[in-house]
Amino acid sequence: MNRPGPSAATRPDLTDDAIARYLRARGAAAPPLDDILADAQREALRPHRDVRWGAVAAVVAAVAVTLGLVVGILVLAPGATDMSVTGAPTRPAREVVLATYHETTTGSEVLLRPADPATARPLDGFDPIVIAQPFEPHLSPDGRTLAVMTWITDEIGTGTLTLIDLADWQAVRTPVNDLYDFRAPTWTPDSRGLVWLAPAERSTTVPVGRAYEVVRWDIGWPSARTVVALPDPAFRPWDAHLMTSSMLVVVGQAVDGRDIATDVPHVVVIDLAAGRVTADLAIDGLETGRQQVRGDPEVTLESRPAIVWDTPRQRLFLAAIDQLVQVVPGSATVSGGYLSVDTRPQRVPNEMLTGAISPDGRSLYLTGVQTVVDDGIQQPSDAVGLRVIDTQDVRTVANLDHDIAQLVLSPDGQRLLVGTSTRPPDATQAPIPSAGSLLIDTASLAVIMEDDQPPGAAYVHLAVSWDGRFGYLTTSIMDGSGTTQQVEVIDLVDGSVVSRHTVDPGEPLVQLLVPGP
Amino acid sequence: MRSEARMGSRALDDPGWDVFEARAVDVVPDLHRLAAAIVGPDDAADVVQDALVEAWRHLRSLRDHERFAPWLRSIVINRCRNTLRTRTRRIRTTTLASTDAGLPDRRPDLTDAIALRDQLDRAFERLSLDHRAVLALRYTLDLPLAEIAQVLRVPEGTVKSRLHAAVERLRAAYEEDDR
Repeated sequence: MNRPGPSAATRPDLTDDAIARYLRARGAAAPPLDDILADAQREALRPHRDVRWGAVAAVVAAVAVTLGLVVGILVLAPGATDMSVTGAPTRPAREVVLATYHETTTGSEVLLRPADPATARPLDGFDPIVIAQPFEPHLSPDGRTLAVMTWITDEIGTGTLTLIDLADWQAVRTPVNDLYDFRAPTWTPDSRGLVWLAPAERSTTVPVGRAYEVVRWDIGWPSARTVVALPDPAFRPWDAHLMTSSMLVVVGQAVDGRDIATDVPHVVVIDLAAGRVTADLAIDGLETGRQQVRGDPEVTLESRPAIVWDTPRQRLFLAAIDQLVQVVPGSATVSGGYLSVDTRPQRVPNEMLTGAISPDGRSLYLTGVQTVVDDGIQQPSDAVGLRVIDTQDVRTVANLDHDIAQLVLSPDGQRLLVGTSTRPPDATQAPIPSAGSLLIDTASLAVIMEDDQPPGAAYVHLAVSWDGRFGYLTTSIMDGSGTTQQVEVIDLVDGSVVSRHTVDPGEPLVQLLVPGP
Repeated sequence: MRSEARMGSRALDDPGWDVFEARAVDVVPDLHRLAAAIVGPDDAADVVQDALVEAWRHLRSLRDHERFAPWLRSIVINRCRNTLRTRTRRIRTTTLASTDAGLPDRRPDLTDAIALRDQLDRAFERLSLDHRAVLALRYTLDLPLAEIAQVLRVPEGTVKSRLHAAVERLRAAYEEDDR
């Protein structure tokens, strides 16, 4: 929690004694000695139990509890957009890549292995490629190269960009100084380079309060290069997308030192070839970002709209629970309006939303989680359901109340694979929600498959294959003995289960990487 | 019973849990202080627990049993590194109730001391793991430079320069907070 510190005029000097007092106090929490030893013994003596994965799972579970969802299967959507204009997605050289956790005597690492798209099991005959974590994978538009960007991997703040040739399963690693606090990496349409956003100041210790700039790295170049700095130093990017090979569109919002929003969200349009900002569009009237709650300066809430890119029609949408804004970056126009949905009487904007758009651009699917504040108390998050919005008329045409909190749309737009998150209605504390999944026919909005998750299913990750044949569900199941993971492959036509297996707990799954539509 | 069970180095050649725990129990409070200083009190117990499990599993690799405590501190720091890496990728969330639990007063008339501590917390959160670790070893555990060098496996001169740089970084981040 942030509080304003003493003003510069009254702030005392930070003496060595003050630092010493602060650090002694920082480490003064009483250790739960017996609990630590008992838990450590239990973990140590449990065969094949991966303790660190347990800790990671706990973190993920905590986020899941708070948000009601976790994005765990990364859909490796093509970074470029020209491909979407010209036709169907390119078939990737490897259709599924498994990332599993592996512990060593000196730390931990992630192993990448190609997998069978019909079973999501590793293929024989391929050595795993070892990378550090945390990491972000991005598939090139031509489907041949997987770029894996790892955050700081050494003391001077250098990250690593690993390019994996999916055809021959070979990796090339390049240290890149800019890979600190990078955001929204995206491939260029020709699959020859990557563009991302990073703080202009390369300091690893003071990453905030610096302007972001657009950075480009091309295969064969010795280093990344700055294209242009974003105009507002307080602007923090949320997402970015290449609308064309030279038009980068960035969505974000300016914040103060405490991450409180100081402006409405903006859409910044950048000409990569010319290296300049061509438009900076304010999205007036959309309540987003971190805000203070009236009457209580200690309480902040945060909302993020769904950012939905409609590349074939060269536009994007920002969707809140009750508003839809359309932006056409090429003509620098903003339009939209309020949606005809009921909102809670005491609603405070506190939503995390996600969405997808149909191939014809007519229907926008919106879901996520919403938290309400009653009498100053934040309640556990609720799934908002599935809202189908007509983008032409700016109105809600359907509202499915199935505790839906996440979604992925098949490339042909005919199937929606959605994740549900349900909490007991009588719970007073934030409980672990019960997760499930549905397969929905978008033409009729009929549920054609309801996945019967085992008891204790805490959250589900979703993906669909590049060609729309398969859906992938990774379910984490927590019980008294720990966490197990189950991977299912679903036939997206009829909803039948093609394959189902439990992940080896000795080498748990970190991510199932599926090149998506 | 635990605290009196100081076992000799020979006992550690047989890494049964009871033997290990008897040796480790005296060190755990220091390990917890170290972890709490580096990653904060919320994650400290998990870090120490994981470090103990890792240490027990690799106990045979410890050749010099006199280095048991520095060795454990090194493992804790490594675990802190993993925790901080995970934390950088967390989705930002808002927690309204629990974050105030440790504060003595959350009424509007907050004292400057609390605000100063919060400001120092924010400054400290901006430090790298290496800087956090050297500050915690020096100021939280009050270890001499030679022992810090043993834990970090670097020369004493490096400890001095890193400590100086860490203090300067903390000051810079503290000053930065108001800009």
